[in-house]
Amino acid sequence: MLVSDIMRTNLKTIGTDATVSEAVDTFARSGLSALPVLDRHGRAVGTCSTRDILEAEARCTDQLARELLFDRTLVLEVMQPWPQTAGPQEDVRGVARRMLDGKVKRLFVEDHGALVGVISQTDIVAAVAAARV
Amino acid sequence: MRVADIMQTGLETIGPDDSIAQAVEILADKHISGLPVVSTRGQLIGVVSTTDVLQLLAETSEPEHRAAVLEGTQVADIMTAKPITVAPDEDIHEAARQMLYGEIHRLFVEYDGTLVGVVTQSDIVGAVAGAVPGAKL
Repeated sequence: MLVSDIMRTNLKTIGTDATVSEAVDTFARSGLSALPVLDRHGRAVGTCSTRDILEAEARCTDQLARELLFDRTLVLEVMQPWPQTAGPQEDVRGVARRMLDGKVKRLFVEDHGALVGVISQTDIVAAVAAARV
Repeated sequence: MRVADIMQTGLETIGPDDSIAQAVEILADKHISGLPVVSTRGQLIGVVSTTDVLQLLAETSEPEHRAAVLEGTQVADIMTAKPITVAPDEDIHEAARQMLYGEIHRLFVEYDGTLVGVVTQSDIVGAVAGAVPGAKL
């Protein structure tokens, strides 16, 4: 089974200049746990996950730090660098191994440098549930 | 392949009367996304996840109230009660189906009314990663 068989397209993204508060709203409304972060030219430069935000929140020692985090901190400052990606023609088993080795829940899929989709652990679980694996 | 073959044991837990601030500390320290909530008798009564905490923060519009909300909210107030559980001898394809139908990332494993482990989406992905090409799990 190939990545392109089970990847999802039509990605939701967020900009580098969005605030952490805006990212929290996006996560709460969409139910997603990570978003690709695009710069003003539309290039994928990082990812922002619920975990990034919770870990930053856990580092806040007082109310002021928490306020600064939510309303004065940009996604650019809490995001992770653009990660390793998968190719649409890769075998799902190899991608599963890379997710576990890299301790990531998803890999974005790039085709010749263009962001074309995402494959998550949930997509692989769905393939197992359907007995396709 | 059975749930018992891939489940994790030795789980971190939290009590229903503990604060969300304590839950956040454990979630962040242990790099986990869901924490089982157990009674003093060790029975599984709920789960509190990073999503639950973010929902709580999103509902708190005033930044100056956020610390007080985290300290003042009890785990029982926002946990998902009575999470779906699975038996250790369940087939992993069925466990995968229950995760999808329930839209959850983990299933707690109960044996004889006691919490004995958890099986997560990552554990199922691990089974796929280790699968022999062409073989069924």
